[in-house]
Amino acid sequence: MTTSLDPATLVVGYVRSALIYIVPYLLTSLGIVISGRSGIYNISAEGVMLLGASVTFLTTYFSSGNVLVGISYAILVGILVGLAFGFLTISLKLNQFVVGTTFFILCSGFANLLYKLFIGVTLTPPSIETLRPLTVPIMSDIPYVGDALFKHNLFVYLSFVFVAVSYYVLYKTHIGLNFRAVGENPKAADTLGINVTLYRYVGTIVGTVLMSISGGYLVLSTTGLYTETIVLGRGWISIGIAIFGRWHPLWSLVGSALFAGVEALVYLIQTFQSVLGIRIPPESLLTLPFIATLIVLALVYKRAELPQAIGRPYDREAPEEYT
Amino acid sequence: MSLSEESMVVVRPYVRLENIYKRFGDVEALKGVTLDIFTGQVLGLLGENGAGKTTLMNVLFGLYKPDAGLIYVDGRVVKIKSPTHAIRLGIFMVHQHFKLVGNYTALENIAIGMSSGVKSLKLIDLAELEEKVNKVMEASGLYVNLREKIKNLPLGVRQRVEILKALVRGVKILILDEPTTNLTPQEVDALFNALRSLIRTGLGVVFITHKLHEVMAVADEIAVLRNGVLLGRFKRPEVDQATVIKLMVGERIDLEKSIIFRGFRQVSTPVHTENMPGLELLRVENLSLRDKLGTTILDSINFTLSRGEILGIAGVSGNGQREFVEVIFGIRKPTSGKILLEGADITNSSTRDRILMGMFYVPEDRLSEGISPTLSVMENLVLGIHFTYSTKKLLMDFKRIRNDALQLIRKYEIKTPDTTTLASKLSGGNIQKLMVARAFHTKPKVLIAHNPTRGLDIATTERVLCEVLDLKSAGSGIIYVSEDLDELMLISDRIAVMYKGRLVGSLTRDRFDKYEIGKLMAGVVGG
Amino acid sequence: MRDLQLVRLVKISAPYVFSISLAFGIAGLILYLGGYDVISSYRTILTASFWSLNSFFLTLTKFSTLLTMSLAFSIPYISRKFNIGVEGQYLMGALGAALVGLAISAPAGVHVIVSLIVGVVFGSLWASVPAFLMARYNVNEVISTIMMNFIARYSVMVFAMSLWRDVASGHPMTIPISDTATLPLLNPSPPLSTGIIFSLATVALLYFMVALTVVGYELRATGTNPRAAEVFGVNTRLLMPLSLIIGGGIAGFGGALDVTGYYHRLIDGMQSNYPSLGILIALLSKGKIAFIVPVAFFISLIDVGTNALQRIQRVPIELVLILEGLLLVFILVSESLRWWRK
Repeated sequence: MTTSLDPATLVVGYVRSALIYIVPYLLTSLGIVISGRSGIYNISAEGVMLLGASVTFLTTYFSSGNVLVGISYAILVGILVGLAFGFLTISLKLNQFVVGTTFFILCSGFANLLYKLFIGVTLTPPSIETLRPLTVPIMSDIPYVGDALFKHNLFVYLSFVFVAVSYYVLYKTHIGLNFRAVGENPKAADTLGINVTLYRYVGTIVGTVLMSISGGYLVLSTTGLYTETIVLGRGWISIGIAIFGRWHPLWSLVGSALFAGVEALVYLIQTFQSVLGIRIPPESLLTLPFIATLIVLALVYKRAELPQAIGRPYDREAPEEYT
Repeated sequence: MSLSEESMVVVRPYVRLENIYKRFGDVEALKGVTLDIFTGQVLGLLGENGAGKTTLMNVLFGLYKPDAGLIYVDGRVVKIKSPTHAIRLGIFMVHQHFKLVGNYTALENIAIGMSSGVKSLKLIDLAELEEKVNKVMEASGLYVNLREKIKNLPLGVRQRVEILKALVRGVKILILDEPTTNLTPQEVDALFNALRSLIRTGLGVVFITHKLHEVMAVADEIAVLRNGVLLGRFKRPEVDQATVIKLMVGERIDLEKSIIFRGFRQVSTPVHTENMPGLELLRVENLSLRDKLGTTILDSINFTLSRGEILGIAGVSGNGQREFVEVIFGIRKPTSGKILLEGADITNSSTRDRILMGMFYVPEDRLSEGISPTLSVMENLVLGIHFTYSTKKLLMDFKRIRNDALQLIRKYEIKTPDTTTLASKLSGGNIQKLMVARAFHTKPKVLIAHNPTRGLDIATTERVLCEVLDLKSAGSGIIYVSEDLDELMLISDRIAVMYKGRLVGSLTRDRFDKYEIGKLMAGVVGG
Repeated sequence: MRDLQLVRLVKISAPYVFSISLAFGIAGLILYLGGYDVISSYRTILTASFWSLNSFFLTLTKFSTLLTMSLAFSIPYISRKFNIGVEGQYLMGALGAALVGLAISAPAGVHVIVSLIVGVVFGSLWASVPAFLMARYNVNEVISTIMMNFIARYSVMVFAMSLWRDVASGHPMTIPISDTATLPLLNPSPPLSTGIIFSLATVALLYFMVALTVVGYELRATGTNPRAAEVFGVNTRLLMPLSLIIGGGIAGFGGALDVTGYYHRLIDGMQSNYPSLGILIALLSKGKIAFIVPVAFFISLIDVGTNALQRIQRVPIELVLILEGLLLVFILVSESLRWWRK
């Protein structure tokens, strides 16, 4: 990134980096929203992302830079975690927050364990090649806009596609109607022929797979390294995005854009500190996203809306009490 | 079609439940019940709460698996694996708790599960379904605004949506579980009429209720269940009410002395205070409540409660009753207005203060508001006055709590293995008894009771009503909020109706009239 | 009769025995796949605490930290709130104590006591932000406390590298606090701080509070059914945030104890894996304070063992986290299966 202060270049650069930073928020919050809409509140996102990052890094590294291998393993791990999480919360009906907290700790632990087992402690950490941008023909030639929007790696484009597809399926199809009913009133859905258990498992697994891929992206996009702190709270912030996005894919897009914007802003300030002649300790800048989360959560409380049955296990044989 | 014509033709039942057994833990809910269900007629399934009627139908609807016994549908033995399976077999059940998604429209609710395979991934188009539903609405006489969200529809209309769900799927047997619970008397009549026309189209209806007069009004045949045993099946014209009551209740109730069956005629204390200020216990002036979005929930409520008076509050659930009792008890603060207890302004006092001043409450929702499930029975019995069991406001005197708990358990016959048993292990009826025991133990000056006998069997209901009357004789005032108009008319000195947050009408005992009250419940002004 | 009791004992303990075996089994599998000697690893993990007086005292020190950490999670957990922010509250308590120990001077007894008090205060204040957001704006405490964790980590990093930075050390940390601000030792060599006494006292105090007082009853009622508690006059709107603040104070106390008693300085990353271990201990104990003591001791044992294993055989220390996490999962599973069978 050049240090030219030409406003147009600045804006283009800003939008570019925002789009690069938006992906993890988009994918993870989408995963949380989809799980949530089926009734499962999965707060282990941060851990699953880290695990996805670790697995993607290791498998890509050991397959000589084959990203496809890396992502496939990330998806596989996501499925396994989703199955386990689903088993505990759906079939055994355990408290979703307890399981979520435990899985956060476990997945983070496994992520670091795997890295240490396979790589260990080295003087210079190994790295893999980062993703190359794909230029969209024609569109990328538009001055400024082309640079900002159409010269990104595959994941950026794919994430937006995922959001669009999720929105369509959830809100514009019959199967989406059934799916959301599971998160609103599982007993109603059950009575009308919807396999609540199956839908919830699907919702959970789609969620964890998205979280895992999101973690993999972090490794593949900016630095090509894996560190214990690569996720840096984005998983938790994504839960916040899902909450103030009212568990809706399009609003989570807005929320993700907000946080990507904050990250891009932080990067911008750090890059131009010397030019602007100001010195802000990096740590204070880094706390911005977290403070922002707190503020936004407080601001939107009046309009909070959740799927009615989220977080509560479903038991068909549970006695009908007069509520 | 008269019943005598029907009985000349040997008709095979569409459903036969044969020798059904079902046990929950160590409670045998169904003990070898055999029941035939025919299309083209209304079968009234009568029994007190806890008799097993709902359980039996839940077995038929695939929610429970029977421990033993067979089910025949259309002549063939089936194992009903799930409600979906039951619907495919042509059976649908409308529970007391509607199974509707509040945020969806009526049409969307009907649409759930109605498409499958590839079609379910295409852009959703409910036009065809809407047409189908319109036809069904015309045929049955049950009309609903399909585009309205369920959460904005009154309960009576929601019930119609449930029934439409069934009709659109072409069921042969429709089971209704206590369907009149949330209907005004006029809506009840409308429902009965709809059922009769549906019968003519060949539908079979099972009508579960604990009220004899309902089955007498609508059923063709009556089956009586008690304690999980089917005791008799009668054709309605041949029924002797006294026999049926006896079957329903058994030997435990002395019908001569029963409040429910004989009615409480004794009026021991003068009740209306307008001319007797010394007897005034509670006075509420212009009480209003608006929520954070500005919607009016309670609208200028005015009333007084005298010593020794039972004020019945009638009304269909959802008209503000819950918010009303919460404001009176201090769980919510009103937006404007005053509440005076024995002259003292308690409008802004906390619930704890009100408890200390002699108010207490039996909430309607026993599981979600009545008990702390993982606290022990004895700890639950003192919830609300627990701090009075402490030395110097700090340490809890568990010994004294235990003693009092033992007394209460004995007095109210609460079935629990021990005082330290977790409250969640108690059956619904016993939890209700616990809540009632807790309330009466505080010897309140003002008792607010919201559906206190809901789900209770007749003996326990009798007991609770007795206690309420005893409390009244001791000079306390009782605000008795209930959706059961029969019960209100039984014990209230005065009845007022809650409609859309307003307290309308105030009828003294001599002017109790079901249909007048029904009109008020439906919002008809001018009585 | 004794046979019946024995059978009952077996039935009750079966799921726990099963879970421990399974958890260790999987850990063993991981070790095996990683190319480590499984048997000797197990031996190290389980016995390292007892190899010397030093290692035993180290175990007790970790035990002390884990006690306060899990207590800090347990108190809000009793009122059904998830205080994942114990990490941040611990760090801020440590920061506060370090501030007192470095910035001011005072006579011996007073200095320590003030440090500890400031630690509690800082921890409580740190928790009061999420508590306020929860009370006023209904903000989910899981997210808000975790945000505070990140902010706390950065704050500690900044503090450790500022005015009192120990430039001789490669890792960000402060210079040692004044001698007057350090906790007395129970044993001079090998060193064991009196901090353990304070932790155990805190456990006893909180047990007493929860089980026997009115506040404890109200906390428990709020946790099992906040709605019913509210309906009957319990001030849940105050109690739930208050439980968070108390949790914060306890975590802060733990941080202060570690700074004044063990590290004698503020070190970036001193929280290590204690917050996660502590949370898992609290969940394993199901919020029952009495259970925390044995469980925390067991975990400290394993933590010391795994650390020794890491030094000797280069086994990653994450193993202890994974062991504990798996243990919790298997216990949850086996308990719910047992309930099923009934």
